[in-house]
Amino acid sequence: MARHPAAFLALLVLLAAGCARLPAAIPEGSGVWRGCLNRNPVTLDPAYVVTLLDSSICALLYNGLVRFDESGRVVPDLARTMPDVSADGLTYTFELRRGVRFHNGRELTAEDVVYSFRRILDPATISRRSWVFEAVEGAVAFNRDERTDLPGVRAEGSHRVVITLAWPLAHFLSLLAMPAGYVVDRNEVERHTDPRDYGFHPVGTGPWVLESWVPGAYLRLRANPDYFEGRPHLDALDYRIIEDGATAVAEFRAGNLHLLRLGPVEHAVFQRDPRWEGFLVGAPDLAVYYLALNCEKEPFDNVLVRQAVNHAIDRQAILEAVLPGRYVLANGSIPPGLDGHDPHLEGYRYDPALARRLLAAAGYPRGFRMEIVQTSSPGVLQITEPIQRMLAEVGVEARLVQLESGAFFATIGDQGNPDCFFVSWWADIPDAENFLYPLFHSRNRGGGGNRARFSDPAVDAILDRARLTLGAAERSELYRDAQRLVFSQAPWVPLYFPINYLACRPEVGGFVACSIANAQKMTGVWLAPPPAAD
Amino acid sequence: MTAYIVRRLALMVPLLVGVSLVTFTLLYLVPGDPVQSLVGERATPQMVESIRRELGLDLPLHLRYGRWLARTVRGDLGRSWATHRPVMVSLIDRFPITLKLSVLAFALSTLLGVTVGVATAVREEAGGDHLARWALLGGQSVPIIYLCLVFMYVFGVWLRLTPVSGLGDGSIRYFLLPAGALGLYTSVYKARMTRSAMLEVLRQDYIRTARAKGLSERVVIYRHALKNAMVTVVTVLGAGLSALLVGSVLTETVFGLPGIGKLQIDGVYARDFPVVMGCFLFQAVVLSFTNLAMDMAYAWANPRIRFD
Amino acid sequence: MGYGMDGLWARARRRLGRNRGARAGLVIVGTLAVAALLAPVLAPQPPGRMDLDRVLLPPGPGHPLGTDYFGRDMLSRLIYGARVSLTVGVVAQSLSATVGVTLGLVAGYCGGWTDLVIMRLVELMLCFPDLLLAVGLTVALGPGPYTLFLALGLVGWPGMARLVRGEALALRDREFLEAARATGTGPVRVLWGHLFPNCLSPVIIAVTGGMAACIMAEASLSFLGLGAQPPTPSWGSMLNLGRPYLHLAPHLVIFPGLAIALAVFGFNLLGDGLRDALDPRRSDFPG
Repeated sequence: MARHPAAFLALLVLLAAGCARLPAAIPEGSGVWRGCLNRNPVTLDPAYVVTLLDSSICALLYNGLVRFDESGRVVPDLARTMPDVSADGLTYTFELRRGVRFHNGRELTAEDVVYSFRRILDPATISRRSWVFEAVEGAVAFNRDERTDLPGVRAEGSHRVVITLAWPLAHFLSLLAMPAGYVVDRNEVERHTDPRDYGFHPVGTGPWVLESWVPGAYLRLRANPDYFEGRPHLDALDYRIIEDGATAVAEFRAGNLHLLRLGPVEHAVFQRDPRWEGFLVGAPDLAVYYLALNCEKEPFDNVLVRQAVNHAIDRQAILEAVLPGRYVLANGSIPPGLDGHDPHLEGYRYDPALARRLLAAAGYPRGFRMEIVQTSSPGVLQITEPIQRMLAEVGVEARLVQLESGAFFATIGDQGNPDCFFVSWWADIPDAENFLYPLFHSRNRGGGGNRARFSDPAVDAILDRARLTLGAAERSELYRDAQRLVFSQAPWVPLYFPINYLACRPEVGGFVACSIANAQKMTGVWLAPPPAAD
Repeated sequence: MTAYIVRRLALMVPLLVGVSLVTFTLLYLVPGDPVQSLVGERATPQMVESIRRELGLDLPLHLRYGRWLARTVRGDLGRSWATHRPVMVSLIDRFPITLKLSVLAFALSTLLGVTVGVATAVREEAGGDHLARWALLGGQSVPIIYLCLVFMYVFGVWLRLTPVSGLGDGSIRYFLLPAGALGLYTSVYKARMTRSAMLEVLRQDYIRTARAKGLSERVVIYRHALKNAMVTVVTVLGAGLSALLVGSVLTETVFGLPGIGKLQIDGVYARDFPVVMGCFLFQAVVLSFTNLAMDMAYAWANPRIRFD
Repeated sequence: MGYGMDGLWARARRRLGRNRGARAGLVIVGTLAVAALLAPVLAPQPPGRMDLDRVLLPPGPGHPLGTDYFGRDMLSRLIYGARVSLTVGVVAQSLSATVGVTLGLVAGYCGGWTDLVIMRLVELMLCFPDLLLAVGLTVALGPGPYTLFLALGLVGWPGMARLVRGEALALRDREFLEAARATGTGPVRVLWGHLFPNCLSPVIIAVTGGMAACIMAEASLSFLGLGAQPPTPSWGSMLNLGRPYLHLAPHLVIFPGLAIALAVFGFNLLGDGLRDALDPRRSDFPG
């Protein structure tokens, strides 16, 4: 169903509809949300957050100057309005809301914002997200410990923050909406003898306050009655940590969870069950799944081989069998819904005969052996096993190497030199830049994100220009060009953009699925009095 | 007796050092760089380098081990690389969960196992019926994961008698299903051992004598036979208890109980060096102490054994 | 009363013949072994042949046990899966038996310092929980068939060594060994030619039980994502990958589960029977 852009639009409508029908009045204090997380959060300190899961919990506790709304647009958050940006695109002036209080009651001022941003860049912090601020004036030197001041972030009075950049960066506001841009209370961070303990006792300004966290078991958040946008409808959020998918399904069926992220199989089961009709919510994830070919390694340093591999794989057939209704076939890297997505980009069609001819032309008439490195999660095999079979048809003998995630990321990063690997890329920010610059700029080869080790000066030039281009239309044209140029050289076998499905209990109202993890603030969600269990 | 215990305790020290060395070597062999999985996407080499320094990974191997040992002797197991939570705190938080699960499962499996074992032995002795033996063997052939899933669906989802999974508020209700599944699973082996120990005893001369004296079958079985069979059974029970106390990874994973086993398996996956070292060490301590307790219980149950 | 191989086998065959359980176990294990050996002949289809138009078919004509999510024939995959599961068991058990028996014999026979060192090593290894040690080894060495052999083999040897040492210790001063030594037989000959055959029965029983344990362990490791690697179908990985389909296509879970249960049952029965046949003292399998 999702092969066509029109079907995709229909999905977006479904997403906005949410689950339950609106009642006349939303009941205040409508109870406790029961959700689940598939892993224990690592930390709730914005300086160390790297996973989507941590990011989504931090979104509930903190605010940044700006944030993403449900559709991924940047909107003001702690800032009263969108900032004033100077004509050269280098100076951003933010006016803060007044009367915003941390969970401990202290009022937030511009100094807190400056402290929080400095902290990310402070070399002593060793934050994983210092790159978010690298365009800020003086940031790189400050982060390398080559200077002690950070001229790019200043407080002017108690409620104005001025940020100056060293070079214009079109998507800078999106970066500020990432967890790294969340504002923390200096006193709370420095209260702990080991500052890293702050990650277990987070204090923000957000709609929810962390009440308790039993590692591996659950998190409980209660509503912040003084939240500046008004108290959330729900009283509390209970997030149980349930790692096993089958267990989560059992809990949901028993009525103990309000929301369930559906795997492809469960999706099929729930879809056939009339009781759940109207309670399945679909939302595209801003992510792309692909098979990366190592452009620096024989035989994939030959573009003909890379194209041959693309022609040898019937992506549509695999996806239709494994993920029916849950994918948009990818021909490039920029997902639909982002400026720069190109619905007219031609993919490599399935043509094993052509693949064999290309292999022969490249000097591999009898094929070759290769390894496909992948993680050991079960869903992965469902994609790579048929790929293995299809490659065998054109004489390429692929061995599947399953690594658990630690070894996997080390291997595909700077530590290894794999032939080929199956991986996904998830958006930090809803911006086309995020799907091209880290993935294909030669500067980011290896651990920086360009794991296919693709390198083309022409692509680099376009990407560098696009980062400095402020006009939206011109920018998205540049990204479209870059994408076309990249994929004509086939560094990947792009597979699909995922569509995520959630099952929602009938009593849930006001829930809107978000395509970016930290857009979900859970403030508009409410619960109707529960009907009889299923 | 005291001297024996002191000697056993003293022997634990080199054993624990050995365990830590083996674990250390194993972790050293783990391919790939632990730092890579800590930094996530978009790591600059400079960032990787500073984290490496922070964790002491830039030191030569023997110094790393030395530092770990020196800290551990002072009772500090370090902090998790991934979460920065002190390992000791995690162990103290999580052991009660494993303990609760173990004790419940152990009680259930002992009760069930010994009862079934005795009953089947007595029946078999009387009628030569092998059905029970086959059934017990069959029971031992079901993978534990499936037992867990069946319990979860039958009692949690369909009958709604118990919570489906999770720790909840930590009350006993939440442990009923996992302990039930685990207890049932481990009881089969105990039943088999009890059965065979009982059969062996029941064939002994003194039992025949007791019967010949006209003692009631009840007295013969419970007063004489079971008491003697228990000597063997106690060993089995002890081994079963220590196997539970080190954490039941699969049950804890399926039911979402954050016990020791779960802590450790997560640590292994994340290459979380201090957590894995701490867990293996902790388990070695638990195993050593339960072994000691078991040997003493064995000696107590069987006065012929003397400590040398 | 020492005896050589011939006496042992004759006695065992006689006793095994009388034991119904052991016969049943032998039939089950034998059938699985034949299936594994003759997999290419017996399997109706190559195990990897996909048919994306015929996925998740329930058992029926053409596919007696249905098809999986790629439209592969379940029966064929189960037959090939027997190869993996049995190979894992056989190789891992050979490994742990070789190491365990050698060290156990040497420790028990030599005594003194040798014994002390070997037994401390055994105790050290026994301080690691089995499954977690196997997981640690698998992660350290990277999952794969050889890792699986090695991990499960290394986990098994200390128990074997302790068992054999106990036997050797009990037999060390018996007359038949005295006699062998008196006639000038070298220590290696005494160890392997005389002592070993007399320790053989508990070893065989332990290996049989160990096979069952290995099959279970492979399933557990698969559950943790560390089992056999594709495209090789192993029962454990089939079971684990089929788990999400519990509601949609239960045959994906039931048949591999049954295969595991059957194999474990077979080996346990056989082990039980062997215990009866080979060990006059006891009548049940000790594990």
